Amino acid sequence: MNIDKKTQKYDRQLRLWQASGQAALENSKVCLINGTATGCEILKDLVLPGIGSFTVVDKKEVDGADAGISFFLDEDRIGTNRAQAVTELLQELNEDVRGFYLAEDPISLIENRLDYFCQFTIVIATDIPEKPLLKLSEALWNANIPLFIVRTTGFIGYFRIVHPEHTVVETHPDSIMDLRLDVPFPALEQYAKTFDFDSMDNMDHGHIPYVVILLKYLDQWKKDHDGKLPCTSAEKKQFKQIIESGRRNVDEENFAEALANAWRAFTATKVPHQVQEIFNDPACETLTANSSSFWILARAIRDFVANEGQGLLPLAGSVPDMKADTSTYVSLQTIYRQKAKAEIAIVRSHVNKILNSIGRTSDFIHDDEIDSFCKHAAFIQVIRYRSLKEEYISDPKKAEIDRWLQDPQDNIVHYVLIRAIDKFYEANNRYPDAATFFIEEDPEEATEESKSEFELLKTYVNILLSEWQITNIPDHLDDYIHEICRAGGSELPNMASLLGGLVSQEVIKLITRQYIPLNNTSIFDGI
Amino acid sequence: MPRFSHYEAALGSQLFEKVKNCRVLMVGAGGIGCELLKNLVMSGFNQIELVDLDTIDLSNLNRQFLFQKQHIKKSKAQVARESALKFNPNANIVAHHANIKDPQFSIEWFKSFDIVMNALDNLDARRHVNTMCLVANIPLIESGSEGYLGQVTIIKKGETECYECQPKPTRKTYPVCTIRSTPSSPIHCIVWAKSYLFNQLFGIPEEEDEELDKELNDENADEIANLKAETLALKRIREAMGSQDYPKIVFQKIFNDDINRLLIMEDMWKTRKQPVPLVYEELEKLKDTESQMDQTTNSNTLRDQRLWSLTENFSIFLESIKRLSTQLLAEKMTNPDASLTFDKDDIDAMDFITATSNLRARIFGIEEKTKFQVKAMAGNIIPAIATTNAIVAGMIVMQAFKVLNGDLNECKTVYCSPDRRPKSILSELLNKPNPDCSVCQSVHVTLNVNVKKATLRDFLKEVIQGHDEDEEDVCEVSVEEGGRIIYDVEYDDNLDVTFEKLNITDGKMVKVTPESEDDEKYPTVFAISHRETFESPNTWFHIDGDITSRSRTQVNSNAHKRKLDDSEIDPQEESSRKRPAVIENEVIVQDDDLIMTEDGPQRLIVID
Repeated sequence: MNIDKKTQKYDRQLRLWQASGQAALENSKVCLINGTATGCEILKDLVLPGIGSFTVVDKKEVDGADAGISFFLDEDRIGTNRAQAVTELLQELNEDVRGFYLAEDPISLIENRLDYFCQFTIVIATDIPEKPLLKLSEALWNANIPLFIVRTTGFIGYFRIVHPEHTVVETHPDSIMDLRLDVPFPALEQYAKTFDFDSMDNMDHGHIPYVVILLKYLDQWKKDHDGKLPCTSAEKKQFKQIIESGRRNVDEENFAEALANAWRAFTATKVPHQVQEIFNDPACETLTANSSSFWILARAIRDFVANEGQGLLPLAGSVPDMKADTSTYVSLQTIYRQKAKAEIAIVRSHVNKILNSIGRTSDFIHDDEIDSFCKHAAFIQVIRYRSLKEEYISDPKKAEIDRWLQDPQDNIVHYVLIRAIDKFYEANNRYPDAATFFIEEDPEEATEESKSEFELLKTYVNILLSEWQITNIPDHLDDYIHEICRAGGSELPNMASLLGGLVSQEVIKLITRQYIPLNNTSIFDGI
Repeated sequence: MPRFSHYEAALGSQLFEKVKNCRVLMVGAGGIGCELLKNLVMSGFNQIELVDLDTIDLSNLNRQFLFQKQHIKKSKAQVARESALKFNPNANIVAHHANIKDPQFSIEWFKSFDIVMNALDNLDARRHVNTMCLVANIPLIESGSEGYLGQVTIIKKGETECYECQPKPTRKTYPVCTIRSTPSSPIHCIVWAKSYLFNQLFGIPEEEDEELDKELNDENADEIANLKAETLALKRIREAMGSQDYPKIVFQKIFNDDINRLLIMEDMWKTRKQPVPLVYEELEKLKDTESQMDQTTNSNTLRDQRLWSLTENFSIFLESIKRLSTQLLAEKMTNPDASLTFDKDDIDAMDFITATSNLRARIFGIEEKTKFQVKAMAGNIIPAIATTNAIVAGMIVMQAFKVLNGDLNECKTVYCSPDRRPKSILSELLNKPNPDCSVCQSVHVTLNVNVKKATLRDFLKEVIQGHDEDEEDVCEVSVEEGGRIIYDVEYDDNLDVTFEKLNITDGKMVKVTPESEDDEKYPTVFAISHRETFESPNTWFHIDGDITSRSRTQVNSNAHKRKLDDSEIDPQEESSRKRPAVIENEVIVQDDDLIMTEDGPQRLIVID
């Protein structure tokens, strides 16, 4: 498909993540462990926007339940390998995507050829019990490959991201406004002074950009108040009144804009807290030859702030739309842009110095990467996920789970049940399922079989709770155990689709390195 | 194991029976619609009717997974049906390739459903379905998505807010003179290229004299006369379409002659930067010298995503006019009245709009834009991806289970919003109806009427005033149909015209708003149902329902007051309401896909 056709086909999503995000998607290799209904929905939502390739690992044969739950599979496929069947059908959704399958048992693959999974950009595991999952997650953790753990049971959906660190530059904040009203740089200050409000005719006065209006009145205010910004609400009100008094008539839209944006003049420009934390991070402090470009850039910005920036981040450089005549607007735009450009050049020199000191050449970081980092400097993000080992073994959040569990409204109960179901599966090689007993008998009357299923699942819940040293077991827990037994462990197509959407959305955020993904575990209660 | 036993177990057999037997109307088979149809047939819904007027386009394929390349240009409703039947051959799906506003989809037809699900991408159709569901008293699940944002909510007459209880932002319009004579931003140039020039050359030219006259005042009389002359000249030029010189003639007219004419009006440029006309021969020369130089620059970057040079805009302008002319002339062979309509996904149309708006921007010293950007501005494009639509469609079915189970109080408005971390999904309780809402608080009745015989006067006399009213009394109401004013106190031209001649036919809705000042009452909405004969020989009317209008003052309206006060009402919209029913003439960004974003806690809506 030629480039223009491709732009057209992907037009609606390019609006969201641009060509750079699309390129990242097209270079990605996604692995799905087990071709479950939820797994297929996730892949569907990734194949459509055009990932590079996907691989399904699954040894199971398609059975009647699969055909009923997964929209991809029909009865003709019963008895064939599930990985092959879903791969062929997923492949049809997008000719630009390559589909592969491996008809092997994922658990024995994890046992014997763990490094197989390290070739992928991202691994999505559905329906894998706890022990092999721990092993897989550790290998991927060390290889710095994100792992998604996904599970649905009845109306409950669960997913969790396991990854040491995810850094984002293009977080897509609502707006990047960096006007420096409180601390105008010399060129901006100079420009604002060229406006003599009183001597202007009405036409020109109505076209003074609001940035200049605010600069002018704030400058005056600071002179009258020992250099301080309006601070109390009375002062803020007074400042607005001063602006209002400069307005010649109510038709002056530029003054209306100045009033609406007056709060920007009260807000001191400074390094945001979460960026300061990134600067203080050991990864920013100690750079090595293995440091990612994110940390090298973060350090370069930190050095800039400490020196040339005089405590401020590099200027973002964009100017919002405002009422002004074209030439004034363009001059204002040029002033901000030139300042931003000059600061980018300084950051570049810091980057080169750092690269040199860790034995790398300057082409390791491209100019457009620096441009983007400087523009988004106030919004950069670092997310560190917990490892599965921490969660399951070394540091489960016992106290928190105990506390959350006492609240009947909290979703944590589903977490406990999903973990218990895992243990159930590990011991019995099947999921708890009393559904069929209910249908054949009176739906309201619990049968002996369903009671024993309930007791069995409850045993595993209790094992977990005692592992966490939780003694105060809330009453509502039993109801949920009942519900799980009644609904059966099976996937419901609608939940598979919903969870598929939630998971694939986060996968895309991780692959494109744009927008801020969810942190850690997400539980969806569809009841 | 029977196919749906897992669902039966999860839902309980009672609810599952309802799922199996209920009749579902799905409006829209686009991004959300494809996901929704799959979820419905996979969840045991058995009786589904599907309406969509659209055909499949290449840009749908990144998310509308029921469609593939070989389906391009085919009916969305029909292809969606065929694809979904493969998942569940036993489902009973009826597909309508039609507009939901068509009269065949009458109130009676809406009443035949148990639940309606919207998967729409435009305000107009949402409003229509909202009203139809209120009148038919059928629960409606409303949904939308935009990029990573999504929303699902439930609308039920008398119990929840309806789609119009909260004011929706209105379309942005621009003064004609700004667009035609004094553009000052890129959007002005784009609107000119799309809504004026494209229609003048290839579409149905708008009758704009009235609009221009409205803006007429002492200062701009010359300008208005000038603009009228320009349009007239353009109409004559259109006759040369197909000739070798056609692109050149158009170029010279709009980028040179018209600009020079503007320059004569010196007053206009006292406070503005003067435009600089483009000269065809100079650009041609420039093009020649450039083509002798190295051509490889820029060839690696995406053509849509970089700014075109002046000569590129020039060449693409001429080239696209040629292609569009050829296309139009070919269509005229079979249909002499053929015309082209702007389509944001049509390459030739977008080339034309981009090149034209950039050349105009160059003339007026305005920033130029890439084709990718122009497309977003001209087409009001909403970002859309598979993932969000999957989430939204899943939510719709979840809510549908609750509605069918009679648990309306457990239904929620659900938002999917990446800004609200750590949770990816939020919900809030449904709001009560806004007592000031002019849509859901209206009285809804069915009016059986012989549309061939009954006139507007008959209607006002018999139905609205009742027989006891004084015959000469002016009826203090306004009457509207589909946004047209049919009658008000100052506009009585239509009094002796029949319903049929007024195009108020079977299935249409007529809204009557009391205008008397001392007693503020809710409007009444009459759903028109044509009937030839009536029991009483002296009448053409019969009303099903009670039309005694409630007084607004009877209801405590404080709860919603603040929200309404905060809202901005577009003055343009206000004034257009007062105008009689004629063709709309504003220069307007005409596209359905409108984003509606409202401030305040997560009132974010909702497209696609």
